[in-house]
Amino acid sequence: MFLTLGSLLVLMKELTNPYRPIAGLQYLSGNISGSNARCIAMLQAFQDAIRDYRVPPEKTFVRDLTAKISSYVSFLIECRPLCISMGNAIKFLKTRIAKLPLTLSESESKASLHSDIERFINEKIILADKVIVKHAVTKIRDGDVLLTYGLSSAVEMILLHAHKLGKQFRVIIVDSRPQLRGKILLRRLVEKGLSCTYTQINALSYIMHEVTRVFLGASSVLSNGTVYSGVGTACVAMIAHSFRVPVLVCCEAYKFSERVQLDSICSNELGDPEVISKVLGREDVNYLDGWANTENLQLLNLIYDATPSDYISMIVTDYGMVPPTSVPVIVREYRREQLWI
Amino acid sequence: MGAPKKSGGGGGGRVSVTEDSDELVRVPLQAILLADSFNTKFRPITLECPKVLLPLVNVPMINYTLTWLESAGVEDVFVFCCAHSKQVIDYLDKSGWLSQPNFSVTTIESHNSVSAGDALRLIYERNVIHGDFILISGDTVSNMSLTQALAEHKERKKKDSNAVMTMVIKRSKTNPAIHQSRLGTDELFMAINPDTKQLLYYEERTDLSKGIMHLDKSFLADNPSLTLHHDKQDCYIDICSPEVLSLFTDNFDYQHLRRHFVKGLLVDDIMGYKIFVHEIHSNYASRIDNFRSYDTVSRDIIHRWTYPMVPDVMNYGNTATKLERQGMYRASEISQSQSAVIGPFTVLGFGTKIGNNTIISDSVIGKGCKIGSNVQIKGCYIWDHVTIEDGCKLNHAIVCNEVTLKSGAVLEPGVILSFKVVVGPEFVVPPYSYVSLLQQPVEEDSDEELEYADSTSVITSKVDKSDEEDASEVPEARISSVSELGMGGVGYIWQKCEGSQEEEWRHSVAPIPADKISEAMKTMEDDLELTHDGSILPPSGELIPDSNDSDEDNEDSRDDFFEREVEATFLRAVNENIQEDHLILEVNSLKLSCNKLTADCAGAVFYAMMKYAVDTPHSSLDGLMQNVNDVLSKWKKALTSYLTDIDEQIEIILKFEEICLESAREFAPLFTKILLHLYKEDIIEEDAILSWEDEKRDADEADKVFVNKAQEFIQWLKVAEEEDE
Repeated sequence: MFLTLGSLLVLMKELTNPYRPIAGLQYLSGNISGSNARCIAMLQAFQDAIRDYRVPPEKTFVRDLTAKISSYVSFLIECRPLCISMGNAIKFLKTRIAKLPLTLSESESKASLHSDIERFINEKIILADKVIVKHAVTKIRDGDVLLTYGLSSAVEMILLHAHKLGKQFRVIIVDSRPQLRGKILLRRLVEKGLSCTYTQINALSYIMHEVTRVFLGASSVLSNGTVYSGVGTACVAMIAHSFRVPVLVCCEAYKFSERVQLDSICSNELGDPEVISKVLGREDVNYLDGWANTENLQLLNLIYDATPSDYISMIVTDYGMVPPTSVPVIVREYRREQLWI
Repeated sequence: MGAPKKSGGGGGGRVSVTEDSDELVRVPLQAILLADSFNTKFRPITLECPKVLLPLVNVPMINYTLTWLESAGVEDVFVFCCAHSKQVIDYLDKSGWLSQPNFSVTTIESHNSVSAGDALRLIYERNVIHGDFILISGDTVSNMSLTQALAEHKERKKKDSNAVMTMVIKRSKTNPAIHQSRLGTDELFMAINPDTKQLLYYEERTDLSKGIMHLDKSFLADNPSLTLHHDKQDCYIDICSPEVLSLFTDNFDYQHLRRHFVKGLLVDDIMGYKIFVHEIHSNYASRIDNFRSYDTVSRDIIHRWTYPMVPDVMNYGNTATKLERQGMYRASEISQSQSAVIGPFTVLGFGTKIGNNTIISDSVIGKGCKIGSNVQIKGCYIWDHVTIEDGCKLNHAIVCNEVTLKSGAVLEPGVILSFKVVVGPEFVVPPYSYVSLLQQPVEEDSDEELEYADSTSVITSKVDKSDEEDASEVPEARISSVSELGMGGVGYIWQKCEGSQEEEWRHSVAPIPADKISEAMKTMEDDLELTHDGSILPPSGELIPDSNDSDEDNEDSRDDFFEREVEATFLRAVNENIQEDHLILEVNSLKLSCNKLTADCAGAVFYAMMKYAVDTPHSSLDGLMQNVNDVLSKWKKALTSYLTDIDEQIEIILKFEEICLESAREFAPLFTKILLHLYKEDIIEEDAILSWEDEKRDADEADKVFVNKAQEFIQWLKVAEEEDE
């Protein structure tokens, strides 16, 4: 799953562009995480790559650039499998390249691609988040107890905005090992003066009594309404559902996918099994040390899981607040438009 | 009193054994618990009740400390009681601490100790401490494990018998805006050696003139690395060796543990005693020093940072308290109206009654309180048997036992109502005011509490007896205070002394007012701007004078250093009869290390010789001349080895001139003679003298004094030259 340093060096030599490996390395080390951040980093790296690109003699701009982009993408995949939002963004870029009028000069084509990418980042990610925040804030009322899981940039923005509007509410941040990314969110919210409770996912059924709403982020929403998100999300949504607590999933529309997936095993990303055998800050918990040598033991560290649409009350997206069953409509109706941007 | 004597008698033998073999005989871990704060920060409450018995989340503080000591493996605790000692001893007896198996609590009573220093001296006299002990005051809440700190202390002690104390510190949570610790204590600056964890510097200060601290240069010289801390909090838990007690006895002027003892040890380098720190990370330890820390620690307990010392686990004499959602603690038999709203993080004591539409949040309510309807209570600490009538508003206040608030009374933030005060209806108690049944004592003296200890116990007992029949003292108070606390109010509002006016927000139970925060923010920004201007140098203390001066001064001081070193080397060579070659070698190495020219060496060596000649006893000018001759003839080689060039010879003449003018005026009359001698000895050639004269030709008249003096000699030289030709 992860590259060794040697193969990475080979790759770096192969890739003539100095910018490309940097984004890849950052994914690898986990410096950039979260699907929005990864997608923006990738697109900006592509911008740099296109700027520095020179058409080799005897080749056409469109064909060769597409091939080049594909090689970059395969490098990124080697670093860490793409998330669906990145896949959508790449699809968008390739369409734009293919649709370039042949009459344009090289520099004009580059400028046009550059502004296209810029627009994608602004409209599909940054503006979309603003619209989502505007919609979701209307669902927060005074006295609410909001529960969120892990770290989602959209949920963070919603909570901060609601706090800025002076709404009186409490936040419960549920987190899970090994990444503990909820701590990042906790720190940011506490700094801004929100009243927070932090707990681990195993205390979920206790804490769910108090909760009035659950806000979740998502990596993708599939066209059967299944929410594909960080592992643990499904558990939170199901417990909330059984407690009759509404579950709101905040997801930009560019992350929607035409795929259909029924469980999280058939397609997923595998994380480093080493990290789940260790407990942060507890050196004495070492029962799984040397697990790799044990023949009949295998550790499974899944990154994502799939939440069936039954447990989702509403999806907050840049096209408004829709039930999960409406996702295929958005995908069908707007996908075409998106390709034509 | 039998117990300490017995252990004292038996201990004498034990001590001698432990000295022989530390490992073989296990000394039970002992602790000294000071059940007196020796300050007046909790006035007016402490006039009537000892600080350690004040309820902290409905449990007297001393229970937290004793419980922790017991759980941390301490077997022998000496409780030192001073102010209100009777009450403390009675409480310990009643609550069963004095009769615990495997945990012996012994009280030591004193009526004339005015400070921690006195207390420790008294304990030393009793001769009850036989090994390492924990020094703690009775208002400390902690859940740390002592094992590691003790092991570290013992390890250090074994290596270095001067390591007498280990202080427990913790990273403090501060408000970054105002650099103010949550505990309302003074700003604490520490310097710690990160490798050995030795404490090198400790200073507390109240003023916010942050940024500048003065460190001795020798810290930097002695310690290859040094960390300065402003983010640590002193937990006031000290692991001490028995020497600490004798140190207190030796230095009878040590009063305060930190201000005198710690600073004394750090400054004193004769005995070489060292203090080390042990930092705790995940555990809790904190001392209640003032009302703000009372508030902070109470919140921490309710938020369960001090687990297992939380209300539902610790219930001394209280009925069981149940923890409900959102940090709600409820004891039994509470009657609460349906319409009352009890907010999060609130503790309700046994048998409390709460009326309709009352709102309570972030507060602690004691046993048997009666709270009426439409009352608003926010961030308050209400102790036992308090009566609050309808429509009162309480905001961040401390209300002691048996206080009565008549309907519609308002407590502004920071109010302290001491025992049995009555506030009249519709009366607004102004912010930060202290109200007590007792008149404010006139003199401000820290041993005041002692004197009051006896008289107050009398008063309280009188009040108890005369509740119905109104004895002579109480009506007096009532009459005089009608105006002070409204109709039917009982108590005096204390006047603030000058200094405390400004400080009150810092120590109060009330949260820091927003305007203070913004003020502090502003000053910090100003400070930052100043730093950017470069007019304020980074906090470096000793460096300031140096860096303010120009580079020339630096150059000068290095020159001085070089000359002093050469002089010292030369003197050593003379006194210890070191060979000339070795002297030259040493001066050469100095030359390299100070980055000097050969000319500088020549000048310095010559200066050292002349200095030596002057310092050697002589009676007259002739004697001095003789000295010079001796020195020059003996150490000629050392000098000439640097005189390879004419420039160096000129340097020597210039240097000589300087000596005659400045350091040793005795040479002035001998100038020509010595110059002649130097010429004769072939130290200086005639070319050098002539070019020296040449150089001086255009100089000021004042500079030419010696040229003129030597004119005769120069003339002779010139003539001789011509004759040669």
